[in-house]
Amino acid sequence: MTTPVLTGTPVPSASLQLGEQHYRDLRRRYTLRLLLIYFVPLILLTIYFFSQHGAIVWESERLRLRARAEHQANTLDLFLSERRVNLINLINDPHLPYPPDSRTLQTYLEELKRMSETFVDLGCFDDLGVQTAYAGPHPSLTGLSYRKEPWYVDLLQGADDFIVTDIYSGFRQELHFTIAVKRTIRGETVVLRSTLDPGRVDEYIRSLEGSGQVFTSLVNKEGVYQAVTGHLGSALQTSSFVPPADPRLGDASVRIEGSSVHYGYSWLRMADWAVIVQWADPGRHGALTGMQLRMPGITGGVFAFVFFVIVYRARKRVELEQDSDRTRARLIADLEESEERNRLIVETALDAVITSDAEGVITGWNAQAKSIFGWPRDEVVGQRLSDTIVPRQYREAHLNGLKHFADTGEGPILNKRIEFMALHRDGHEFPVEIKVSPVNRRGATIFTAFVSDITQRKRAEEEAQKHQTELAHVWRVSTAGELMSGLAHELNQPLTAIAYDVAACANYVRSGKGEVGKLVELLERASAEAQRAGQIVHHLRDFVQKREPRFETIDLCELVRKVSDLLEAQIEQQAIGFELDVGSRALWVRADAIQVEQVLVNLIQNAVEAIDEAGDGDRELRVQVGRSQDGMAEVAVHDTGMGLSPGTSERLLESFFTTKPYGLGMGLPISRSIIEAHHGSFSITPRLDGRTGTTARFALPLDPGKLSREGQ
Amino acid sequence: MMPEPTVFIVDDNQAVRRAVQALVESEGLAAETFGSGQEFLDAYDPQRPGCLVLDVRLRGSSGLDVQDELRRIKATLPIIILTAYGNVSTSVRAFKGGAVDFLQKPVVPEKLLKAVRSAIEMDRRARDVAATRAAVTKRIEELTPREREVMELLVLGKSSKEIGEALDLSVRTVEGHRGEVLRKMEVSSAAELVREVLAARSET
Repeated sequence: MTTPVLTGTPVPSASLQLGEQHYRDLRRRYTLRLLLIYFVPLILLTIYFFSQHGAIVWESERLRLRARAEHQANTLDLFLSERRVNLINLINDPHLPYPPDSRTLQTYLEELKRMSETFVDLGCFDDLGVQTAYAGPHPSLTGLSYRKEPWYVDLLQGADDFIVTDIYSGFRQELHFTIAVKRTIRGETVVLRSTLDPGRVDEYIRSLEGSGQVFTSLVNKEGVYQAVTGHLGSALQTSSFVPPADPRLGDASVRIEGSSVHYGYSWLRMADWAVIVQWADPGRHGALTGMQLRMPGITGGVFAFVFFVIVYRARKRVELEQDSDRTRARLIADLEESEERNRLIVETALDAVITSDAEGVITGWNAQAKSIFGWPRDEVVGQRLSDTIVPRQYREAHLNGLKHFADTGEGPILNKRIEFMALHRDGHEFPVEIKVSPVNRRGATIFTAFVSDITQRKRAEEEAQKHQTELAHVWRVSTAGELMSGLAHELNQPLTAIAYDVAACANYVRSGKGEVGKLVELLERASAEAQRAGQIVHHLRDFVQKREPRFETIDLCELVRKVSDLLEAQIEQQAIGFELDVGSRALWVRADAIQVEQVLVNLIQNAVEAIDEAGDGDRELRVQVGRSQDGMAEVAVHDTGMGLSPGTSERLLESFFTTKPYGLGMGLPISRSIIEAHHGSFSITPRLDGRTGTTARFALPLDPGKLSREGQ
Repeated sequence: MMPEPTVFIVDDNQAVRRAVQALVESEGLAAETFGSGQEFLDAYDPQRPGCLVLDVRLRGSSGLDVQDELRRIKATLPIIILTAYGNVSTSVRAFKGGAVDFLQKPVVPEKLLKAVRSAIEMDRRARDVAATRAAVTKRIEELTPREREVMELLVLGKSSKEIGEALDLSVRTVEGHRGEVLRKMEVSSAAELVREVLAARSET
């Protein structure tokens, strides 16, 4: 036997008491794991988005600065280009006499000033670079040679017909810059020059700065301020940022005194100047500042929320774990308990538990098996069942059964509770109830048998049976009186026949007319009738005698006919219509005739009483015999009484329950127990055919031996 | 000449039936047996004299039903009813139905035979009376109307003179009719005529 229940090894109880510490650790581990799982990507994402955001903001800053610079450069270009056009128009003016005198220039200067106040003066140079005429605030400049002046050299040598100078002090020692144009007239190069006021340019630039978001400055190729907002410095100082010559439009970051300053720049087309734009307040402006401020708050909020969620989740998870641990612990405890219980049941139950292999060799033997059969485990294991506990007369059948199971896998006694005789070690046989179950283990069959000693039970059953027989007898005697008038009539028939036959004989003898043959015939008839009378008396004696049940094969139809004969007169005397419905075919049953008669008499008597109680009405009693649907021989007694009152039908079969004033309350319970002892069924129900009244019926199994004999 | 009287025996118990038959036959009487009331009714000829021994409790029908049926067909056969259980209602019904005897089983043979004999005698007498009555009635029918008138008045005890006055006839004529009536009625005196006619009429 390999199941633990029989080896008796208790399963060691695992300690499942998990402390608080365990769950604190678990909670911490969950929290950390969740933090890692959620925070690392969150932080990476935050960083990524933050840098992305910064880059985008930065890019847009750059573009904005460049756009500003470009816009301002264009504006300045336009301004300078207008001034150039003013001068070109002047030099090409056919009305301008050449060489012009200063007075004429004065007239033209005033006209230029009307166009732009920027014009300060106007001068004209001859082929040799001498300023031949001049109009403006510095007449002393007239006659000066500019031949060596850089701008003059550049203009004469350059391809362009104009030049814009950087801001410089020059002869007059004040900041100014010059636009000059040239024209070749009759082989001589004539130059016309005008000084422009840089202050006007400054004002112009400031007006372009707008609302003060940006600072704008104008530098030349060397980075010298040409025009500048006061915040940054003054003209002719050098800018900390010198824009590269290429590209013409761009931006750049420069670190100045530890902080990064960003510039946008754009070179002018009209002069070698560049417009530089920088934020007036690089620390806080635009989306960058606001975003930078909000970002930590939002991020912190999100982080805090996630953190709390994680802590909550971890706690929840641990609680669930704790719950499931508890459940598991309880289940395991239950399981251990039930295994222990099973073991105890097997060990302490009244049942002996015996296992054997397919050959009938004993492999398992519990304590009860020892006490029931007397064999200790050590001696019996390994022996054959057929050599130990199977009584000799059953050994062959036992071995055949094992073989049959091995061949076909079938066993008629398997998985059923069956009563058997068993052999004790000391040689006495005793009744057992046994249930054998085959179990297939890795291809081999193991039989497990639960065996209980039913000696006591059998004895009790026998006693109950005896008691029952006595009770039935007492009741039978008490009801026999009811049969008496029927029996009397029954007896009257043969007695009457005997009396008349004998009297006839006497008459013949007296008169001397009788032939011997006639006399013999009459006497023989009388003798037969006397025997019949004897049988009736004998039957009556059987009926009231205390006796053991005697099972015989009887025809239930005949039995019913006989009882009906006995009772019919009495029934009719009560003015009750009696109908007997018996088929022509015999219904053979194994039964104790007296007991079955007793039941039928009881049922008919009950029916008569029920009809009588109901008073006037149909007053009909019908006895029906036939085969029931489940193939039993059935007798039904229908009455037209009042029927069963609710609640009565359940109690009818209880002992001492009676609805009759003088009833013992024994009839139906005994009837039922008699029928049940015949393996039959017994019931009392309302009539099923719709009429008022009750149907009492009992059914007995047909005698299988008689059936098969009839079938042949 | 009347046929021999027969004892008809109806009982569903064959042994009893045969025993009764044997008993009756041992007395020199003819007997016929029937297993049921219906069997008897089917075979019964009212002209046959005798008596009926009827068991009140028969399978299929009650003996009393047979009795009722016989009365319905105006059979005069005397009936001896046998019963295992004498109860009042059954016996009252039986006697009302014209049973001549109501015997409770077991009936000792002598008592039964006595009952049978007296029943047969009763039947014989009844049949004699019936025969006589039929003869007188037949003779009355053979009288002329005038003779019948004279006879009716004679039966009332009138004298010839009173009859002559009543029928507006002379005494002489009445005397002539009277002699004819007495001759045709086969009586010797007016007193005898009165007795016979009254006897014939008394039970009709």
